Amino acid sequence: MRAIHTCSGSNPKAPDMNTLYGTSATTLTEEETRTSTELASRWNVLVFDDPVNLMEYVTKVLQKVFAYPREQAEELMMTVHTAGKALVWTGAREPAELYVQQLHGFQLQASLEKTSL
Amino acid sequence: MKIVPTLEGGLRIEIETATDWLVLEQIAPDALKMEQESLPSRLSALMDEASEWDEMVVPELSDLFHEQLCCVREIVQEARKGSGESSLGHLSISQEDGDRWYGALNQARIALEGYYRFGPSQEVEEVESFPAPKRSAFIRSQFYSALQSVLLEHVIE
Repeated sequence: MRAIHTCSGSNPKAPDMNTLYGTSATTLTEEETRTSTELASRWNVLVFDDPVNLMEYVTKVLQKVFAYPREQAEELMMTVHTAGKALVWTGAREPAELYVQQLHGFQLQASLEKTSL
Repeated sequence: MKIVPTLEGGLRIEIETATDWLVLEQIAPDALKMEQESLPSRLSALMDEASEWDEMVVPELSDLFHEQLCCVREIVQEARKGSGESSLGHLSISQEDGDRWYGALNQARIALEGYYRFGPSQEVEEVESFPAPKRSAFIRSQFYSALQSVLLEHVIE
């Protein structure tokens, strides 16, 4: 949109190619910056409560996926149960996505959230 | 129906009536009750679009969940075939198949919950007031949950 506005001054029907290229490069750089910022950001893995999954099962899944000791997994499961959701892991986006994928494979409701820091 | 843990780490289900077969045969159809809004898609809805979950993960999850249902359906069909005309019989859940059984039962419960909206707890009076299909689905869901508990206690590590 900005490129068309910039070009419209000289010839509204033929946008200036240099301006377009310049804008594309800027957009690309912005996207690259955003992507690298996203990769560098920290992400939370959240598990949500649901009326179906059994408490013991949720505990076992948290132990399996994150290799948490039984006590920690139980504590997180209780947070899910009482608060409706629990933050179960924080870290880079790629492993966070893998963890959510595994949790979905175990049929738990889970998602990602970018940390506010 | 009796459910007994085996020395090999699995379960043996003793079928005592024709209804027992019907309940076990109903696991896969119940799991497909919400087919128009599949479980992988519903889980994917929790993710943002940038994650490309629908393209990257949903097909894999669909295969995994489908495989769980096929496994359970085949074991029940084979066991029923083996029992002949009799309503009595038995089927075995090996330790290796424990996760698949649990997953299939979970799919069935999730689908029934999504379809009928039983909610977190029911009083007996409330359940009795349910229309017949919902009441029957609720009882099956309770049975699936009980079988899942036994699987968790004796089969799944």
